[in-house]
Amino acid sequence: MDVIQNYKCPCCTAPLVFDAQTQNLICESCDNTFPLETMRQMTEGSADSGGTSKYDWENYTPRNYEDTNEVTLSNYSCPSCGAEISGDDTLGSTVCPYCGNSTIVKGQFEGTLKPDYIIPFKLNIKAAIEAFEGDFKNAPFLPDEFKNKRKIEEMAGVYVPFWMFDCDCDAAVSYNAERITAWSDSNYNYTKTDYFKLFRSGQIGFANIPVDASKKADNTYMEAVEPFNYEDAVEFSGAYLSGYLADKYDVSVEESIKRANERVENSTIEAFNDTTNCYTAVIPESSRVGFSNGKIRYSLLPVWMLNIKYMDKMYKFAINGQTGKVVGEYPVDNRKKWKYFWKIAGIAYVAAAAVGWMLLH
Amino acid sequence: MKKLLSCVLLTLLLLTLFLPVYASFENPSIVDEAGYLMQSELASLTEKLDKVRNEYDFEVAIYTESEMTSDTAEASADDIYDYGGYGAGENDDGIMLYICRDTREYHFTTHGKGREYFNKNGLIYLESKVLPYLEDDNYYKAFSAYIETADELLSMAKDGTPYNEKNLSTKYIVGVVLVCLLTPLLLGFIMMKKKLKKMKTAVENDYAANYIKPGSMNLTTSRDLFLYSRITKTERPKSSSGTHTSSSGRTHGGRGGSF
Repeated sequence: MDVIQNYKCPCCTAPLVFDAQTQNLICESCDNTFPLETMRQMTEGSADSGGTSKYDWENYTPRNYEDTNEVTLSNYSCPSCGAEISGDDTLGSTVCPYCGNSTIVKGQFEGTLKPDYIIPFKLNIKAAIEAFEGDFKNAPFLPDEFKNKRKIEEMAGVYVPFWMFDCDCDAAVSYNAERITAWSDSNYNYTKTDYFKLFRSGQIGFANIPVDASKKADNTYMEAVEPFNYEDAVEFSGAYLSGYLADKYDVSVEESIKRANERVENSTIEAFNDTTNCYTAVIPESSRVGFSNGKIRYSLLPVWMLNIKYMDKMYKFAINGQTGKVVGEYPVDNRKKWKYFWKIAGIAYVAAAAVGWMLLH
Repeated sequence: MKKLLSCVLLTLLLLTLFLPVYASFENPSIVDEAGYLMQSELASLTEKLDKVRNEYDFEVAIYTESEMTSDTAEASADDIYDYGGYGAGENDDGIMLYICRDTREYHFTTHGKGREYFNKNGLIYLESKVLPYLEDDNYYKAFSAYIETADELLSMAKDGTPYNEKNLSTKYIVGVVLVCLLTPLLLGFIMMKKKLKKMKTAVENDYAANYIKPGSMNLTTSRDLFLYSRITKTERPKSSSGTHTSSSGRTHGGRGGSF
């Protein structure tokens, strides 16, 4: 049975009626005219992009860690924050890398799930400190005392557990777009706004999107310390843990998938946005992202964790053990901050005074 | 008979005394080709104009036409002034109000000392007196206001201080002062906040653009459907003023617009 298709005006949402004379659909409310083919394509595109997103991730099968005698491991637990980490049995460190608590308890290694891959540390502790000190120049309001009198309470190289996600996406996105042109004659300025409906669909692939799998490692820090270059990843071997700590995952795959989906969906829409350049304004209206070939791996990624005490307050930093990228929150020197504010305001006052004088005289 | 002859001679002598003044203005002070005025109004305005221009030895003229003779109101006013022999003294000092009926445009053209006496701010003041009547199509009152204001400004110029005040409303002045006071603070605050962001680099990353497989994007549909257009028009600022060179090569001041 045929279905009668009712079209609504994209401008004012009033019902459109077919005009036999022009063979177009017309809106009796706002007087716009639309070709039948345009409305048909618009309805098809909207149906495509307005569908529900589908996420298809394969199940992750955990592998048990087998002691290969490559290195003797011990378990360390922090009574303060509850972190359970593994490490070289000979490790001298007795401070929790996450909270800086020094009453960490060494215990018997109880085994853990074996990671699929590991990215070995490329920066040793000296290079990590150099990277950290090199980052001071990027912090404009850093107190001078922090540079000289900071006290590194704890610095530990930690292999942080991450779930790594691969997937191919099939996406359809619709946009409302505007193109504005302007011109003038002797009496009036004219502004013409052309309204468009845009449809984009296609495929895009992602590989190795990391999602923090440790509850103790701050998600914000772990996302900020990205990206990791996965070309350096190797098959996991316990030998890489020598001299470093290793956390084990306590965030399930199911919990991490939500965050992976969000990031993939955002980036897919952003990638499609880049194909809509020739408009003044483009606003996404609806999107559908379908995931396929979703693969999940368990990996350990290298992060230097720093806890720095300054003015009786603990400041936490993370350094990408592969690239040297430093993230954290520096203390702010209020004197420097307000000095900068008044410097900018002062320059602006001189300019404002000149403009004001011209406007009033 | 002798008494009559004496009276005639005395009258001629008196006329001769005034002749140099009247003789410097060869053109009619008002030409109304557009037909805005009645005869009585024309006569009244002519009298007022002649009085002003003779008092200050300065051209004050009005010229209206139904169709524009040049491309713009400014060019038309300049050409009429230059080629029509308007102006007083060696430098053809004066001001003329030109109006085109069809396009409803007006232009004040100034020349010689007129550029100084009716400077930018003076023309703004003059326009503020005339324009309301033009917009109401009350041409007699508009021209009367023009003559009275020209008289006022010429009187100030004669005293050595040509009108040069901006007509600024209190609201405008307060607005400018507030903007000048607050904008630097706002700018300083925005710039400071921008720098403060660098102090905290531990921020979430909601995107995964770093992990897109190179060359994996394949756009299968790219359809742009034009729906409709909207055109809005806003009236251009009605007035413009400044110095320019006319087709005769002479420098004019002026201000004009539409009504």
